[in-house]
Amino acid sequence: MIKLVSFKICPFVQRVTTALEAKKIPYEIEYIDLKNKPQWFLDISPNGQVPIMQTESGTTLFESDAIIEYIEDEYGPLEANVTNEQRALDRAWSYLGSKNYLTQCGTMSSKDEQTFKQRSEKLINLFKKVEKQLTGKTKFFKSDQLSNVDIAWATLLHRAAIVKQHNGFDFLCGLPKVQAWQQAILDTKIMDKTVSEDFRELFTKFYLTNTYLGEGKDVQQSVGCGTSSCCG
Amino acid sequence: MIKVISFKICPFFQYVTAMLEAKKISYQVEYADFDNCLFELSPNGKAPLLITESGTVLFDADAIVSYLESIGGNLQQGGNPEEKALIDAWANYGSKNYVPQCTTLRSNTEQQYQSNLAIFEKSLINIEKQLTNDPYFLRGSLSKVDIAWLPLLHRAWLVEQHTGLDFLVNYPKTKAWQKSLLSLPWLENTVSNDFEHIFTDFYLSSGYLVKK
Repeated sequence: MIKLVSFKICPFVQRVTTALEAKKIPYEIEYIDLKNKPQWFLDISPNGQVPIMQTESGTTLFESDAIIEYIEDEYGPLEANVTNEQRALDRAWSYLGSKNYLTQCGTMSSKDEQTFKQRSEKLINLFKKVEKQLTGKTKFFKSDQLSNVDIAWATLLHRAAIVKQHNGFDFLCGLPKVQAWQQAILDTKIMDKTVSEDFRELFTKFYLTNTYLGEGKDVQQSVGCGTSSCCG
Repeated sequence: MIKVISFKICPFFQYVTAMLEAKKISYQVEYADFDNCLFELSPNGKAPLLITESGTVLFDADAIVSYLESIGGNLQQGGNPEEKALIDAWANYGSKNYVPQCTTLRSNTEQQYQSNLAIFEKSLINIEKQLTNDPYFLRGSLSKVDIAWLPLLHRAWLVEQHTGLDFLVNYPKTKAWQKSLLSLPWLENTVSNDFEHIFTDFYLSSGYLVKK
């Protein structure tokens, strides 16, 4: 069986588990401690970063973008008959999502209002770009079926939903098409399966405690902790 | 004909042109300034953009390069999904280090330089472990991994020419790899004619590297 190694809060592994859940591919997952990476992990990970994936034949793959492509090649695409050009556009829109996981992470981790405003502006501009792209006529990004673009953005939209449920702050405020897209993804009931059982608790502790977003006011900067602690 | 739009200094542009050259695909280039409104065409607001023969505007260098890789043959693409995934991973790992190399070169103080270099150098440590004594990443044949690392190694060479500082001094296999990539016959086509001048002006006219 496929085995993933990651840590619980990592958005990059959530993209991979979303792809696996959407395709109903069985897998195991082992979580490690980001601050204390075990030696066996360092021995098999080519760049020391999570997630890594061990295939059924025992090869270790790394880089979540490459793992996503592997799942598509090995287990078949989510959508059939996509042209090369369309595939390039789908990849570009997917990367626009996944390359902003750290933007979202950094925004949520901000300690004071000024940093939060500066970082959230970038994140909100990103959602505005998608608002322009969405037609509003389909449930998901491209059609009524899930595609790779939905898989990449599901992580961002799921985390935005948790924040909204927690304290009412909506990164998608004023963006009705993105909000509808978010709801459609949540309605698939896949998202809860893509994270560990204690994910909400850990997420709340990590992003919504002792942060500007969590407390609604500036908080004390803890020593040695910045956006770089988000992943990797 | 395929058209690429970018500004001259951009390493992601060189990633795309290197792929076009390696695949012998003909293309035109339109250079624009950093802040050109053309980039507003692009959902990510970044260079480069590629306009396909049918007029579709593609964005994101990684996506563009994968597109180019998929049209036509003549590059090593991996015989099975695992090999292909490893090529993708090592190529993406290269392109993810363009920004760390850029910030290292642009550092103003020694402290900034050392902390930026530590990030960039991790990539050299990790790639050195993967390389063999063959000219390219995958034995004898050129792959997307070579193409992705070419901008990093080309820029490292320009820095060495101008300042004597060799980022690869402790990485002999990477150094040998740099040499084989720099001898690719089409290397100079991947950048503008005045690239060396623009590069030294942008990276090597002020900042810590020059003061050093």
